[in-house]
Amino acid sequence: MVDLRASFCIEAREILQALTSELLTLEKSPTNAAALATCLRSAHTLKGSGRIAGQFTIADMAHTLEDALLPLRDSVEVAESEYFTDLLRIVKRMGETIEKVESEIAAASSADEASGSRSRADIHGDVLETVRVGIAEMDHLWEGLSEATIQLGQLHAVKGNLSHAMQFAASLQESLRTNRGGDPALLWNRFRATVDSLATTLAIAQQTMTPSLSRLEREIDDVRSQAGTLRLIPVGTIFGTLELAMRDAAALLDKPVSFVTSGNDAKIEGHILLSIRDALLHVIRNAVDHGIESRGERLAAGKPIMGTIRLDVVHHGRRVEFRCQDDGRGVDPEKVRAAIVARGRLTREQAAALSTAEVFSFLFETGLSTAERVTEISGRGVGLDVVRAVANRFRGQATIHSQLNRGTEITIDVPMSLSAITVLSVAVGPRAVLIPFDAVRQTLRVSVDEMVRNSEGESILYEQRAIPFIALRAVLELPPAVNEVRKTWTIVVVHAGSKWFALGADSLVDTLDIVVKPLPPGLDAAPSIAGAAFDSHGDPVLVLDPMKLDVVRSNGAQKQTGPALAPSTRLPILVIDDSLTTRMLEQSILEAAGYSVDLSASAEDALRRVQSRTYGLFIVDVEMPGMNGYEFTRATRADPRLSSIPVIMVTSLSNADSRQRGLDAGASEYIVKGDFDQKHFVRKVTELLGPA
Amino acid sequence: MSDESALIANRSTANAQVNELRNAFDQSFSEPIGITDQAEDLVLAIRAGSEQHVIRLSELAGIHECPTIVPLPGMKPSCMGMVGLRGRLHAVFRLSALLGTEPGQSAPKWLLMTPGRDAPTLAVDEIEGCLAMKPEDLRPIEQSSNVDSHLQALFVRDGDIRGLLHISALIELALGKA
Repeated sequence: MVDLRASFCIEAREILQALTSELLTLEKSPTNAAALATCLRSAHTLKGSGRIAGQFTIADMAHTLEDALLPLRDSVEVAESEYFTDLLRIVKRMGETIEKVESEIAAASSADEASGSRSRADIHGDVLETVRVGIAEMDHLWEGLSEATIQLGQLHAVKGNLSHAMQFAASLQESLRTNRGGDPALLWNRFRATVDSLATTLAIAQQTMTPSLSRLEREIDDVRSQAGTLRLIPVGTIFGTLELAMRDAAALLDKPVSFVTSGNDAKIEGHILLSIRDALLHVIRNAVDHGIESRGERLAAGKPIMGTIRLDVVHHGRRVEFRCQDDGRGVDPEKVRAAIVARGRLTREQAAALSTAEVFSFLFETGLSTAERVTEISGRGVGLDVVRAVANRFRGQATIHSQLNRGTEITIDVPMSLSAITVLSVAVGPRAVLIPFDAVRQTLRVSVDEMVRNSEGESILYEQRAIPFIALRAVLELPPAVNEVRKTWTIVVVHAGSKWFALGADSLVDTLDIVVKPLPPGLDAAPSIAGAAFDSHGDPVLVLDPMKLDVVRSNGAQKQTGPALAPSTRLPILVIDDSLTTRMLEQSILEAAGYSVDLSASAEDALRRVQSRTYGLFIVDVEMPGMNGYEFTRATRADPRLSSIPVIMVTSLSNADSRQRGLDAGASEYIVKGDFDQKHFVRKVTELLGPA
Repeated sequence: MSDESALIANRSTANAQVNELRNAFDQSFSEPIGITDQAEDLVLAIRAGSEQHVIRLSELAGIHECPTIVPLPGMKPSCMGMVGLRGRLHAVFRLSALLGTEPGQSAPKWLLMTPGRDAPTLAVDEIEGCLAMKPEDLRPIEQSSNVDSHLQALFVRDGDIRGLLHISALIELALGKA
């Protein structure tokens, strides 16, 4: 039996959302009669449905609210802002009461989860999973379907033509059979009329069918796209919750702050909006707590006492950008640098070399906070990491810009829908697999000889990066092709979050717009599969989740070599060269490929450095003042602590004797500067040290 | 007989019929629930691998010819993959694998749809017939710890013995809840 309380909770949350939004409107313009009417109607409805569902506390609170609102309708006096603040408190209390009811329902349903009762999370989810659809939108959909039906009627007419054609063909077949062995010229004269009729009938069928099919395809595409938009929810739905959170934080910290929004009509899928709301709650609380200054500070800085937080939502193409801006004190990049060093993320020198934008991007890391105090609201270094996590989860981006004493802007850019996406279809043996197009950076043909192999598997070099290679056969757990001698791979380079992968397919098939269906329950499929779409025969085709491909990679490596080092544990490289230009060049190449690099201008300095830090690879010049590269290599080979660290010599000495001396000294690789090739250089580093 | 007496006689007959219907209607409520259902229970005789079973038709949401099954990486051994039916995805479990019996030599031919949205389907090798099951066809089985919960009773007819399978227990087994 349907739990009446559950239905009530869904309705009540929707009403409270409307109440919050309209009360905030009334606070700003107390004479807004439409907003007042909505508030009264909402309170009245909630009172009635609360009584029916046996939720008398909520019904009583709704009644109080109604009583408090009625005088505003009948009076010429305008209510003060505090009056609405009190009313909003009642709304908040009602929300808390509903939350309790939801918990009771969840507790009851957890006892019998298998019966399909809804959990509290499900009920919460319904707030943004329920859409109201306008009649006009439904009409548009209906018209599209009607048009598609008309086109189907045209195709039925073709059926008649084809049936005639079949009759002609059968008659021709029969005549030819009975006249076997006859004179061809006579036969042609005799059956010419039948053949002509056949050709004409088929031509008519084709003429009718081609435009009808194209039209039908267009109409169905249009209907699908229309149906897709019906699932989207206006972003304004979350503005009330955000404003309430802002008011609570501002009241707690005694800071006057106004909340300005724009773009509430932009639409987005419910589950994305729900996560964005949670991320924005952190952003807004952070802005009130750490961004907006105290009254005194603002006065001293010549700013208005009232701080402002702006939330602008901009819809562009198939993406929606949430831009949250405050006019507070901004973030001091030097403080962030200090926090990065204090947390041991980078050395002082490395932190100093970062651009301001790079410094701010560290604010999205867990635990990194420049707040001098932890408050009830924020400052624990938790919050902005949630923002990036949300952006990553929905294949979006989070960025932060800040100007000292001017304010901070945090932007979250996400797709409006993840259900309808463009994919690249690739062939893997007998199967097709779909890769979300927004993760695809490039497609390449790569010879197997160009691939780099090491203990962690294979990699390809792409834009000076060593990118881990994953055969899609391995992702799909397909057995290797029998008797396959592969010379080249069709590679799809994907970039998701901070991860890069080179996916090996047999061939590229097509790009398609698809609707991704979640996997049905009970499958326990690998996390690398995000869902499935239907092909033209109605059979499922798997859609990859590029964010989860590292699981396949690490599983593959473990199968081959046992547990591998996590990328973050990759040891740094020490570059030893007396030439500043060479040092900088090698550093830039290696860092671009994702390696961490230290520099020494002499072998003596390098031997000092190795006492305090462990390196994974030495790259050493030969001709240097003082100790040369040969001596350095011999010295490290003689030291048991350093002997296993490979050495690459990079020198301008190109003769065979010098090369041999280098190899005899213990160098693993000898590269001549005159023949220096970046790809070759990175490949050798990857072979000796593993991918970055 | 006058017209009037004929009318009275007809009315009396009609009243008797109404009373009879009313009694039958009331009587139906006083009878124990299930006797009628049991008497008319239809079962599907199926073969899954090397074993034959019966399943109550009322426990199934439908039967479908087996379309292309798409396997997925990381599946449970009893899972064959998923299929698309009327625009929805369903997981496919091989019944013989769920029951731990020997699988058939060829690909399963039929899918038994279980009730519920996105509910899993059970792949079987053969549908051998639809039978009207009578109470006397059933032999109870001793419920003990070593008896599978998905086996409700034994169906015995003309020397043919089959297990009567319980669909919801099989679904729990498939979804790993058992």
